Amino acid sequence: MSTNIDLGQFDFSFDPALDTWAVGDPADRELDSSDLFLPNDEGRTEFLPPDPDRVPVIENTVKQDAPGYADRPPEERTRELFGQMNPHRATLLGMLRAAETPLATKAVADALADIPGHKFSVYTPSNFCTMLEVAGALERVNEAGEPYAAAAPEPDIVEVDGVQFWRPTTPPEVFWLTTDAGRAMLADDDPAARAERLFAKEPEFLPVYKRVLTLMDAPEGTTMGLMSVAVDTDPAVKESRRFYVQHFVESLERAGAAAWTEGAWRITEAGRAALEMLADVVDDYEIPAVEMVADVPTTTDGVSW
Amino acid sequence: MTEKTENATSAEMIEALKQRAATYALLSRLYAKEVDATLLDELHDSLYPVSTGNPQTDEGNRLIATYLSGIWENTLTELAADYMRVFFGHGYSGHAAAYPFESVYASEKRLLMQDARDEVLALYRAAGLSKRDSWKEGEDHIALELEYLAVLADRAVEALCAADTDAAAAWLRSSYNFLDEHLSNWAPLLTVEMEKFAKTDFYRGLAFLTDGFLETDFELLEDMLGIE
Repeated sequence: MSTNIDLGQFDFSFDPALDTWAVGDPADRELDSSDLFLPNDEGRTEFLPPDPDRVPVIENTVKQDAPGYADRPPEERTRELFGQMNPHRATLLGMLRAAETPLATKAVADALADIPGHKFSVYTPSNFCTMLEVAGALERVNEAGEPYAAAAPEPDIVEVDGVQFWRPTTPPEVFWLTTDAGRAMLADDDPAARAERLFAKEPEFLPVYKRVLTLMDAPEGTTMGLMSVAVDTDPAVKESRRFYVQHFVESLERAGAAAWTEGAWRITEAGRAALEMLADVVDDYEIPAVEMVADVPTTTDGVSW
Repeated sequence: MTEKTENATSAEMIEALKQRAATYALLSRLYAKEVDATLLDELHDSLYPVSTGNPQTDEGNRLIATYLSGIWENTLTELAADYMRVFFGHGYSGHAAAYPFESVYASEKRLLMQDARDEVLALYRAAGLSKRDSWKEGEDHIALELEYLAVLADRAVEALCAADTDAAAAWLRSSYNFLDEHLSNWAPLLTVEMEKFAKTDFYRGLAFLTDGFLETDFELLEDMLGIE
């Protein structure tokens, strides 16, 4: 490598303040561990290589590296991705919507921030793009929406003082465009149908769903603590011993009926439609006053409370 | 040899030693932790010799320059993920990654903190070096062994600049001994595994570059010290 890298910026591991070895008398300074240690064969052996064949395999993972993966229909791979990434469904759908026209990679972060219900994630904006690309729901294009030149990256060769060097090049900017499989996923996304399926699965809790949606429909939204007062005190929920308020909120969120936005849980448009579906459901549970319930937090980050 | 020629030779030698100190420092940094944005920019703006006379170094330079030519917004994340995959892996078998510790390759049960670590720690201490509190890994991590050689190379430069050729020779001899007894024994085993576990050409290239540079430096030290 060339040496124009600023080594001064590196934070090395040895403490320079403790580098007390003064250049002076070289006689005793030749360092050789064979002089410092007696022969010790205990616990020693020849140098051993690792054995990659013994790497544990995680079962039931989708092997995207497998040769046949890319040959499977992109629609199938996209559905599989959405199944695996269910908690990020809103984000993935939002990405597909944002990329219906070519979307610059540097604009992806802003597009993500605008998606209602997008959560803090260990995945970077580009990670989401790559996931959708591997699944076949997004493709790389240029600014005009034409296929991205897929040439393998190649450095230039330059000559300096008669010596040849590789000089890394910079590839053209990547834009993202939703593919046919991605558009099919968007078209198939039907929050009303998902809410219907949810309500059909848990008919005994329809009053609870109606209550939670109603609380979220307030202009200022609601908090997990307040929803807990309304749900976890309900004998119908307490006696079932299966669920707590988080289950109902998460189910509604995954159905697209609720979203954590601007510091509160709020109903979405799809949620309002779902609430209308529950118009005939009678919810006669009387929510206790907050003061009557111990330890209700007044603030929440949406998850911890 | 005239005085002028001697001066020129000495200046060339100092330059060569500075170059090897810088290369050891850079390799140490690349093994110590993931690449950050500043370093990535500098690596992208660097030039990589096409033909150094060592095929391993040449391949390393080519792979790294090629990888950097595909740089995009997710490159830092890709590199961080590959760093973890290569050097940490997952699972508990002791065979899931290219573990960057000498003890793993030099102990029967592939354990950390074995004799090899004690030996290099003694050498660091004998050289008046102590690790920073921020360094939480074993002292036989390849980043520390490379940094140790960078320190010795800097001391050789310092001695030569002070016209103390005996001291310079002693530092070079210490470097040679360290390579001979430690780094050159196990680094090739590590780099073979890095090539298997790495998914980016960057870390594959780093493996080649490490092999090539250690090989070249070992020969250079043999030449300088007149070792047959």
